[in-house]
Parts: sequence; structure tokens; C-alpha cells
Amino acid sequence: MPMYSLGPVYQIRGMMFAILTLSILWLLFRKAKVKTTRKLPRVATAGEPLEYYIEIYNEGKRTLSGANFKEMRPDNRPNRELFANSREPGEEHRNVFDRLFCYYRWEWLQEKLTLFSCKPSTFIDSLPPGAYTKTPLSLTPKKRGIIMLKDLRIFLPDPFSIFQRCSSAHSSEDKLIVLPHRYRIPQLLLSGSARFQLGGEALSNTIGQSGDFTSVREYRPGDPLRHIHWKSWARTGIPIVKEYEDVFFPRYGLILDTFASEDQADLFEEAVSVAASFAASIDTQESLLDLMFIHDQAFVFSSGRGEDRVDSILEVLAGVDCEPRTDFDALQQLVLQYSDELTASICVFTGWCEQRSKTISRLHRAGMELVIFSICRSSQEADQLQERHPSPLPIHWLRAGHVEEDLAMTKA
Amino acid sequence: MSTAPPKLLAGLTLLYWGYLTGHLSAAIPAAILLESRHAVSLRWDFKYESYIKAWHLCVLCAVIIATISWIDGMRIGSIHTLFVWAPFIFLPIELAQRFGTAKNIPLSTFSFFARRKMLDDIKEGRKIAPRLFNTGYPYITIVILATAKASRHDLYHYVGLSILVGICLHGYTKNNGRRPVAWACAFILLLVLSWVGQWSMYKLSRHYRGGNQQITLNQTMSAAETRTSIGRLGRIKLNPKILWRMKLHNGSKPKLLRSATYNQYSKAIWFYLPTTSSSSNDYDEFGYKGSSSAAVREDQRDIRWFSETPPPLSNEAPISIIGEVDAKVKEHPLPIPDQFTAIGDLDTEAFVECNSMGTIRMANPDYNVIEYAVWRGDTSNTEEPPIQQSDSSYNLDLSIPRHERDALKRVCTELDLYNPSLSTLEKIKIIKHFFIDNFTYSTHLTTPRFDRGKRQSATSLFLEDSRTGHCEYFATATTLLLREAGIPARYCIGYAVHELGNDKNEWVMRGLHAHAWSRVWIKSTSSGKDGKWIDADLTPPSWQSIEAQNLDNWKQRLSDKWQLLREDFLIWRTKEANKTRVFYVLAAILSLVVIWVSWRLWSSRQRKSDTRLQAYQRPKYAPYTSLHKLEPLVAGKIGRRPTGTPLCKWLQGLLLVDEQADPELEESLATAIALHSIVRFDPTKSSPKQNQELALLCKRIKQQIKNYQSYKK
Repeated sequence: MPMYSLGPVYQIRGMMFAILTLSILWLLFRKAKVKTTRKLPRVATAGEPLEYYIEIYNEGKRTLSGANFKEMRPDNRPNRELFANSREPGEEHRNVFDRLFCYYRWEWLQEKLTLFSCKPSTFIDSLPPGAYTKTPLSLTPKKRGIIMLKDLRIFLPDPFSIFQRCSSAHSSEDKLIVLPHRYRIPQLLLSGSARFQLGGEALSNTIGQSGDFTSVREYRPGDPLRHIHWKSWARTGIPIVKEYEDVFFPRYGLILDTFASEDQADLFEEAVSVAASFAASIDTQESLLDLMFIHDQAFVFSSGRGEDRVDSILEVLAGVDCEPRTDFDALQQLVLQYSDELTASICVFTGWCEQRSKTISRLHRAGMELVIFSICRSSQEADQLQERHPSPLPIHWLRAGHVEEDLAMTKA
Repeated sequence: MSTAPPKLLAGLTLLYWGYLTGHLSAAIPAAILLESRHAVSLRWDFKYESYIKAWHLCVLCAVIIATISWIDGMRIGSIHTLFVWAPFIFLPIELAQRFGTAKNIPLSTFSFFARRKMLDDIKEGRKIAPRLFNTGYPYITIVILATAKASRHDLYHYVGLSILVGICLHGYTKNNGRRPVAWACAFILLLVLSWVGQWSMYKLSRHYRGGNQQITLNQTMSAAETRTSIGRLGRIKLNPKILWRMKLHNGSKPKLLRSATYNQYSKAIWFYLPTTSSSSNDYDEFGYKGSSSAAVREDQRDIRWFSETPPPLSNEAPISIIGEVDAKVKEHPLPIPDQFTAIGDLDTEAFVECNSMGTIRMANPDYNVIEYAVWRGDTSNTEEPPIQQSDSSYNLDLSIPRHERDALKRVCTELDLYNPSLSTLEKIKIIKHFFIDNFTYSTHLTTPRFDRGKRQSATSLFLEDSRTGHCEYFATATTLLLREAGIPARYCIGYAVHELGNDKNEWVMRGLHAHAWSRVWIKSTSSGKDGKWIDADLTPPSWQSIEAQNLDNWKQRLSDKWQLLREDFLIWRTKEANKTRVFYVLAAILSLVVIWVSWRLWSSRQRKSDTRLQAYQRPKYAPYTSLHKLEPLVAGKIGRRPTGTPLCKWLQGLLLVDEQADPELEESLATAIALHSIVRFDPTKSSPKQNQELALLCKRIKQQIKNYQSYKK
């Protein structure tokens, strides 16, 4: 035994050395050959955890035990160009050391480029060779868009769980559409509602006749032939048609401002989330929704009765990008084109400026009913912008990072 | 590390620390306090600031412990020894973790700069994500390391360490895919490997450290022996630190202060061989005797002498000496001047003894820094004259190693030291001039390295060949030459007194003043006494000027001032009256801190039931049904039931294993779930018949699951 005063110290060193060596060497003998299949839903929502299952088939010759799985995210390291040309928001307020070594810029870029985070699955107790089982996994998408899942890994820890061997789990490539994050929307009283009416001044927009039979009248050119009442024609000798109640459904417009620069990317994301929140909350059984935005060209997507489901609008919003080239005239033209059909419109702007103010003025003069939301960084900024570029209509300001609470305070 | 350790592990580790370090009385209450968390429902909803205060309390504990140790004489260089108290230093933060409602605490708690950065980030509106961790396992690690620092039993330490590490690994792997058989095999291998590993590390360390040790003058010294650096290559390390201070109250200044005297030389080692004669029975078998039992004066002042009759003593001791007894030097020989007669002003419980060479040693002093008074007389009353061994005619004070004889004979012949007409003093003078004229003093030896077997002729090489050396060479050569010339001589080590301190009558002795010389017996020409021992320092006088170089710099002056301040304070503190004062002041400060913390904690306490969100606790009387017994079988098919998932909902996952679910299984499961819900949640309304029905159904389901072969091949 070593010297009295040094013995325990050497024992501790020996123990630490033994634990590390044994753990590392044990991993050389831990192997697994598995094939996995993901059972993914089609869509997920940004910021909300997604639970799904993976099926595991043990292709190896030994029983698999004490292993777990995890979805590895793609490499989120920024490249040199991106790192050199980016600036973290508020970087100028950092100290000299941080500005020189830019660690926080690196961290910010990594966070921006991270698509999702994934928790490891529970451990598999025992899976005989040739058998299969299912295990749940949880994944939280960080941002909207499309995630390609192609790197599922199996972790094989040593007996002391100090180190683990990480191998590929041989899975296929799967796609997951991540819808924008949505907020709780306040009760907005928009004009128009679905009702049955016979003629009169249209307060909403008709989409067709599907009401009850009410009366007959003389045929007028243009009436559908299927509505001819043959018995009455036979009796009277002149064409007679049946008359039905008209069904009127409101048609709402959701105008998304895509004209945002690179440093307003976070505001744009909030604008998309707000637009998605409205799209998801409007009752498309009783109304129609038209999403309009400009991205290289004008786009209009409709959902509601007789049209696509609202999910399709959300999927569109999942993939929409900023339009760097500002063209509010095109947006005006697009919206005015549908102004007669639209009952009311919700405008979601990324910030505020002279051009946006002019657009709203033009649309308002055209007689459109508008509810305006604009994303800003702070209340002070909102006040300054409104003072600089007054709007003919009230604007509901939503602060980035506090959207939900600002929406809750909104009254239509 | 965000998982808490298993119950009672921290308490067990503390008891292990207490037992092995000898502080069990302190460890027991601390362990009870830590583990009482599981018995009491008291909790505190600590905010972030509270954890910071707990950390500050840890720092305060460390400062208090360091202060107390410093007051007790610990040197700054030995501050690492305080690590043995780490379990108590970190106890406040561990208690805050245990009794707080938060599962983990932010890592920035422990760093002022990290906290400041976090506040700056909050102010700038940046998102913060502090790293959280649980202090449980790190605290246990600190306790284990502290135990290793001061453990008294090697084998028990190893056994305890193995058990604790095993429990830690067992607890850590519990929810991390533990495989029992693999774990057990790995643990056995771990024990074997660690046992082998510690031996290998020790051997390796010894191999690499062994050849590079710096030579230190008198590198191991005790009252019994001194290992000189005669024959070693390299430069002698000279320590400029002040080791002793001498205050001269009256009389003349002694040139040398002697620490120890030796009479036997062999292979570069001088040691003391007892020379008690049959007539003297005061000495024990090791050649030491205690002070006279009558040694105390009427005014109760502590004075001790070693002669049979009390020597004449003045009221005021002519010399007082202050210094730190070195723990590495065994049995603490004390430096004393020539013509020593009595020693005094020591701690009443201090035990001093003296050998026949006049070496005074102190056994186990209470304090590191001591002050003592010394009386001098006409002659030393502690040194026995050169006498023969009781059972032979062999005089140790004339003994010469055989391998040195030839060279000594040659030199003595050359110097005519065999001439009977020359007196002792004349012979000493001849040797002195011989050294001054032909030898050089140097602390840096460049002669070829001696092999172990050749070191015995180092003195011969010094006398006839190299003629360069330091004081040990000169002292050894003087002693051996005089012995060869028939003059009893002894070898002494101690300090040369030639540096004046800050005060007028204060002299300082540094490490570089350490010196060796001879002690020579001069026969008396007058009637009465046989003779006396005198100092014969024949090292060329230039050595003092060589050692005095590079002393005058501000760093050295600052270091000296600090050391003197510390020693004076420690001397003041060890006086009886002052001991009590210091204790009361420290106790008062500590009590105030404890009272204030306790009051703050008591006023903000909560009961465990106050917290709104609690982990699900199964009601004590809720029955287990047959459906519960299916859980292990089903877990083998679809994986373990996740925390928070109800049993019935989880069981339905069995039907999703195959795309074409078995309708029979589906039906049986649905019925079983319905029955289970009645039995489990409304046991008063359930009947034994329903229980039996459920049991039969579960048996059928079990069979169906086995036959169902959900593992597809």
C-alpha cells in the first residue's frame, strides 16, 4: 500500500482512471443493427412538441437492450460568409471582448439555423433478434417550414452511462411540414354572416342557391334549365321556373405583408404566425377566406365552403418567405381586384411606413372594411411610426415577443 | 448533472468523511440536517437571489475556517489542507438545494461575472437560458475528495470509496438504461482495475519524481540524525526565510546557536548514539532525560534545567528565541546558545528533554510558533564529557569510519597533527589555516556524480582532491581530522548569528544561515573540572558574505515583515488570557451570523403541502388490480409506460402494434379496462365477483398477447 498520507489520493485517481477506461473500452463491444420506420403525422406546429412513434426492427444476432433513440438535427453551424456578414441584434451593446470574438453571434446564428429539438426516447429493455417494437419520440420544431428527418440514431451507453456509442439507425427519409405557431385570437366582430335571404341589398356575398323552394315565376334568360317547372309550363304554355332561397356567405380577405428586409425577419415570422392564427380561427364552414400576398408574383389562396380546407392555407403560410423587393402597388392591385367580393379584410403588416399608410388609404377609399394589425418591436417604436405616418384607420400594434398578450388586449 | 442523488447517500458520505478524518462528532449533525429533508415537510421557495446568498455564506464559511486555521498557525502555503473542511464550506448551498422547491439551480449562482452578464442580457432584452444543475452529486464528490485529503485508514477508505461509487453509479444509471448483469460485471472489473491502477500510479509517480529532487541543506534533520548533502551533486538550496529570531536582553551575543549535536558518522549521515555510562541513570534507553522536577521558581515562572542541582539564574533571561517549529523536523530540536544552563517560558504542557550531547528537543508542541527563554552560565550543564561506552573501551567521540582513515592519516601526517607537543587549540589553528589557504567555500558542487557506493569516500575526495565544499564538508572534515589526531570532537548543526533584525537587540536566523561546525573537547589545565566543550567553526569566513547576497530586495523585506507580524500575533494569541478573548470574539461573530440566518429562514418557511404543483402521489389505499400485473408484459411489447400516462390509455397502445388489430384482444381489453376502472376508482362499489371476472379476463389477455406474437419475424 502506498504511503499513508498519499494512499487515498491514489485510490481516487485509480478509481477515476478505471471508470473512464472501462467505460470507453466497453463501448467497443457494444453494437447494434437495427432498421427503423417513423410513424409521423403529416404536419406539426412550430413551438409545440410533436409525439410520434418509431418502429424498430432488430436485424442483429444479439438481443438489443439498454438502448435508446434520438433524431439528430442537421448541422446548424453557420458558414463563414454567413457568420462574417451577420450581426446579432443588439451586438453593438456588447462589450469589447464579445464584439471581438463574436461568440454570441455564433450562438445566435446557431439558434436561428436550428430546425428542431428532440428528446431521446425511453430505453428499450429487451428486443430479441428478429423482433420489432415501437417506441415514442418527442420532437419540437423551432420554426415553420419543411423538416427533412433523415438521421435517426441509436445510442448504446456503457454500463455506467458515462459514455455512449452513437450509430445510425437506418431509417428512411421523412418529410414533416411545420405549420406556423398560432396564437389565441380575440373575438373579432367582422361584418357579414351566413344567412338565407331572398334578394335585397347584399350585406354578404352569395355563393349559390341551396335554400328551400319558395315560389315559381316566368323564365328569364339565364335561368338554369333544371329549374324549369314542367308542369306549370304545360298548363300555362310559357316557360316557368322554380325559385329558391339564396345562401349568402361572407368572404374575408387575409392580406399578408411580405415586404420585410433581412433584419426584420423576426417581425415577419410574427406576422406569419398572426396570419395563421386568424386563418385557423375563422369559421370556414360559414365563410370563405382568401389569403393574399406578393412573392415574385401575386398569390391568392382560398379556403372555405367549396374550396380547399384551411389546412392548405396553413401549409402555404408554412412556406411563405419574405419578398425583398417592395411592391405595394402590386399588393394594392391584387386586393382591389377582389374588393367587391370581400366582406371584410384583415391586414397583417410587418412594421409601418409611408407606403403601407398609402396602401391602407387607397383600400379604405375603395370602400373596403379593414382591420389592421402591425408588428413592432416596442410600444415606443409603434408610437413613433404612427406619428410619422398617420393611418386613416386604427392600427392594432403587436409587439414581437408579446403578441399573445397584445392580441388579448385587442378589441374590434 | 441535473438528477438528484438517491436518498441517504449524501448523509452516508458525510458519515464516511467524519469517520475517516476523525470528525465524526461534526459529521453526524450535518448528515442528520441534510437527510432530514425526507422526514420534514419544511420547504422554502428560494428565489435566485437566495441561492446567491447561500453561496456567499459558503464563501464566508471558507473565510472563517481559513482565519481560524491561520490563527492556529497554519501557513499560507498549506492552505490546501483546508480542503478537508470542504463538506462544511459547501453545506449552505447544498441545504438550499435540498430544502428549496426548485429542482435545479442556475450555474451562474457561483460566479459574479456570469450573474452580471445575465443581468446585462435581461436589461438589453436578450433571451436568457441559464444552465441549471443539481448540486447533489457534485457535493458528494467534494466530500469524497475531502475524505481522501485527510483519511487515516487506507483500507477502510478504499472499501468506503468503492461502496459510495457503486451507489452513485447505481443511482445514476437507474433511469439511463441500466442492464443489471452488465453493470455488475463492469463494477467488479472496476474494483480490480482501480486497485491495480492506484499501485501503478504510485510506482510511476515515484519513478518520475525520484531523480529530480532539489538538494536542501540538512534535508532531513532530527535530534537523532542528520542526513548531510556530502557527496551529492548540484546547488544547495538556500532558504532566505526567517526561521528563528533571537532577542538579546543582556550579556554577549553568541556567534552560533546549536540545534543538535551528533557523535557517529557513516556514509554522509551523522547520528546520535547514546553514551550513558553505568554511573548515570538519568537517561532513558534512547539517551534522553527530562528536566528536573524541581524546576520552577517561586513566582511560578516556567524555568527548566537538566542538571541535578539548580543552576544560578538571573531574574531576567539573557536570551529569548522565537520561531516556528517545523513539522517535517522530527521531535523539534530547539536552537540554544553555547554554555546553556536552563530553558523557560514554554507552554506549561510542553515537554522538553535533553540528550547527553546537549541537544534540547520538544515533543509535540501545541502551537507552531513558540517563544522560549534561555539562560547561560560559565559552561554548558547538559553536555557529558567524552566517555567510553559502558561495555567497551570504545570512545564514540574518537570513532572514524574505516574507509575515511587512509585519507585522514595522510592529511594529519601532512599537517603534523600527530605531534604530541601541540595543544588542542594549536591543532585547531593548524587545520583552520589549512582550510583557509587551500580550500574554497562553495554551495555549488561540480565534481562528477558519485555512485551510491562511492559516496563513502566523499570526505576523502574533498580533503585531497576537490578541496571545494560547503560547511558540512568543513565540519565533517574538522571533526574527523581532530578525532584522528586523538582529540574528542562532535559534529553540530544550527545557525550562525550575524544578521541584525529590525530591533536593536534582535538577531534573525534565516535558512541560509544554517550552519554546521565541530564541537571540540578541551582538557582543563587547572584542577577541578576535566575540561569543556567548545565550538570550532573552521569553515572559511567568506561563506557569510556569499550567503548574504541577494537578500536586499523589497520582496524579501515585505515577506519578512509579514512573517514577523504573523509570529508576534500567534505568540500573543497563545497566551492564556488572549486565547479566551479571541475565542469569545469569534464565537460571538459566528453566533450572530447563525442567529440572523436562522431567523430569516424561519420567517420565510413553507410547508411542502403549500406547493400547488406536486408530483402525483398514489393514494395509499388505492387497490392494485390484475390489470396492473400486465404492465411488465405489455412494456416488453410497446416500451415502458411514460411518466404521467394513465395505465388504460397506455394499454390501448397495444392495439396499434399491428395494423390489423386482433378484434378479440380489443374486446377483452375494453372490458378489462372498464372493470379495472370500477375496481380501482370506486372500490366501495366494486364486488368480489367483478374482481374475479377481471382476474380471469387479464389471464386471457395475457395468453392472447403471448400468442398474438407482436414480435413479427
